[in-house]
Amino acid sequence: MYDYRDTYASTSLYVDHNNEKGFIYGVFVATFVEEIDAYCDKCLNIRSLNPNKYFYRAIRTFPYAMLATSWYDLSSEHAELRQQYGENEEIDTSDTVKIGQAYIGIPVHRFEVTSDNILINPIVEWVYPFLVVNNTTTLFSYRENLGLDSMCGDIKMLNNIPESFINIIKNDSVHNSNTLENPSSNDQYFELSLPMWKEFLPQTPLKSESLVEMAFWGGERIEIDPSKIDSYSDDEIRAIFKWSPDIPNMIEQAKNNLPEIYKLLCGKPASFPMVGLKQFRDPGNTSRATFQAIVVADSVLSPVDRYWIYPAGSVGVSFSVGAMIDDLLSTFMRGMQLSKKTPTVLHPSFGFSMEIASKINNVKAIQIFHD
Amino acid sequence: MPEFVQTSATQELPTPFHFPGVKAWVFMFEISMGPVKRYCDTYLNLGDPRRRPFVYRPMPLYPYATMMVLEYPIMVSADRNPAVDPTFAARGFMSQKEVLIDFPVLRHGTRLDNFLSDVSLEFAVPFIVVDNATSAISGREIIGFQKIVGQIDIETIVGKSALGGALHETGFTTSVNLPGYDSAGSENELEHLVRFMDIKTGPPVPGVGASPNSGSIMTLFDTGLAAKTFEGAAGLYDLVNKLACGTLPNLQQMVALKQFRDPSSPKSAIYQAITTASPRYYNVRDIKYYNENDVYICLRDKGSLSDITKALFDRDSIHSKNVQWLDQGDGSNKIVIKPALACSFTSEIDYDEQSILYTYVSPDDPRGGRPTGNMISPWLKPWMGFWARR
Repeated sequence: MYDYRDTYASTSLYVDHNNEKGFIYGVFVATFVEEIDAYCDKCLNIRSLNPNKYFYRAIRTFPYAMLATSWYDLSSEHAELRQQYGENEEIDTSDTVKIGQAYIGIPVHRFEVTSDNILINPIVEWVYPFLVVNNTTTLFSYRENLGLDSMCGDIKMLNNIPESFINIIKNDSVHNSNTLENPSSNDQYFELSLPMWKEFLPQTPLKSESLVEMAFWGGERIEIDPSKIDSYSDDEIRAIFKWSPDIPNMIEQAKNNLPEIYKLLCGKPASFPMVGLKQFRDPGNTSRATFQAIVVADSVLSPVDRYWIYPAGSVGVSFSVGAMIDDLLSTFMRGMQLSKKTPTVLHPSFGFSMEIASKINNVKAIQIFHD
Repeated sequence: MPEFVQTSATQELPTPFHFPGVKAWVFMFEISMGPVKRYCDTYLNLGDPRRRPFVYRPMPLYPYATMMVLEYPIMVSADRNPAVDPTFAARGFMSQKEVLIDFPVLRHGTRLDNFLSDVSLEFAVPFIVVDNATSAISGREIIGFQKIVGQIDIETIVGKSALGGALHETGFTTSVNLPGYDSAGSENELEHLVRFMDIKTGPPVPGVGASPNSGSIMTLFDTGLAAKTFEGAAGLYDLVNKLACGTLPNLQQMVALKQFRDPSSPKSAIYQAITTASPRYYNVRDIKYYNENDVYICLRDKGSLSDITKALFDRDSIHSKNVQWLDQGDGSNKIVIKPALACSFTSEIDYDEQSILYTYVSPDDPRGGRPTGNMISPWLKPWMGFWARR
């Protein structure tokens, strides 16, 4: 094993890591196990000379994706880890950044494969087929250290919801809430823009295009005290998520099959182990990978203080389609029937926001592919 | 090697790349050999020297580094792999600005049988910044260039002379801001943009600036006729290279250390290899020269940016009057560089040749030490291919 040679451009973010002073706004969206299986087969169940130690599959009992944006005022390596590994004395690669990110996260099952090709010991890990960050130090760390196929974009955050977005939601026939007419000081709006080709044509320039808008109207949100969540009965928890017929079902599924998601929905610290495909092209033959490995990391999300639930009519999400992410979004939100001409409105069953901190550690390559 | 998994959102764009109409400003300046040797030993000559069949050394006969400012109006990945739908060639184009510094290094074999056959003049790139994240990802992950993303402003100043007349270029300016920290190693400071570089020139010659030193190579280019002659020479090189079926050695073979951390042991590399890329400049035109007395280049040696200046300059062994360190009184320095040559040109650039030269460590070969057939000297390569057993 050779020493990694640090340079001015190296980043050691996310080799062991703390995110502090953060918050998350998110929604859960129903998706399709066939599509998740296809994604797993393409990006994780890779055929190679060495037998696969693991096999990934959608979680049949929880076919939901989380669309969320999270922000941290402070994102930095563990100081004690830097001492443990001994930073290069010549070059200090410690990084402390402020980050905003938007993503689609999907829980999947990782099975161990026995020598008899039997799948055993399923554990839950999260894949991030769509992940955008707003600074390049984090971008390079996500890609090169965690193996997350991330992109760099701009995420705008406003405390008031633009009229143009309200009109998009109003014009959608399914939406019949009057929440939109009542602005509140707790309203929150996000707009994600990404450099992309709107259409795949040789003369199309890559430019920043608005892709996702997401708004949370604060007028009817309900604050939940995580310290008292244990005292709630199951019926009371169901009552909190009363606005949609889907919600009790989803909560029940989470409680029975994915206790960590259930914990998060109850405002408690929850583990979200992540998995990515770390790969780099061979410079001599760019259709091949000179390195390809499945990388996993532990990630613990800790709600630190405030937690709110937003009823169905208080959350709005719209997508504008661009060629670069068309297939990704239509894969995981097949029911949306994305339109190329007008923004497509999504109707989440509920939304949530909470103040959080998170920790990422135990990053390791669990399978390296050979050919 | 396994197949690279890609989607329509893949950020690591495959080669070949085609960059038409690139505008380049070039500044050559004297550099001491200490930092070049240190760079070679830190980033290129890795591992046990008894196992490694080559060594990289500075080129004392050519003690110059080149700073290039490049403006790419169109960048295209021309990959036509039919397995990817749509092909990258059919997707669209992007633009970028780039600033880099390179210096020559000489590689030769360390055994009797490869001492000459593996000789190659290559250019190491100790600093490179772009303003396009996709370009940075592709450069870092395919070749191993240590590209970072910064803010680059380029302006060609246009005006009239005191006596009036037509508009003409009266100067050129560039500024570069990089993500970094005002104090190195501070845990309480958030990363932000820090000014790293400023370049200003006077008008291209013949112009209204001061005359070049009598010892300067600038005197060669003091007439438009000389500039036209060199433009013709660049075209002639293209023609001769075509007639020679591409066997002329490429003067811009760049070398890099491609490496990635082992996630479970971040001080170690899980992959580490020497790679090369050979940008091909052709149809070079609109060559202009600047009087180096009219050129001001200033780098900031401050906070985390000192990592860059440390790699390029050795303050204790400065022997050149052309690189001055100016103490700013707050622990930072300004480094003012007087170039030996300053010029600009427009060119087409293609990236269609890149390869792994030597693998230090990879999953296939954890103990490392795997040369490839690409080590061979560029002048010998076409003949080796011709005589090779098939």
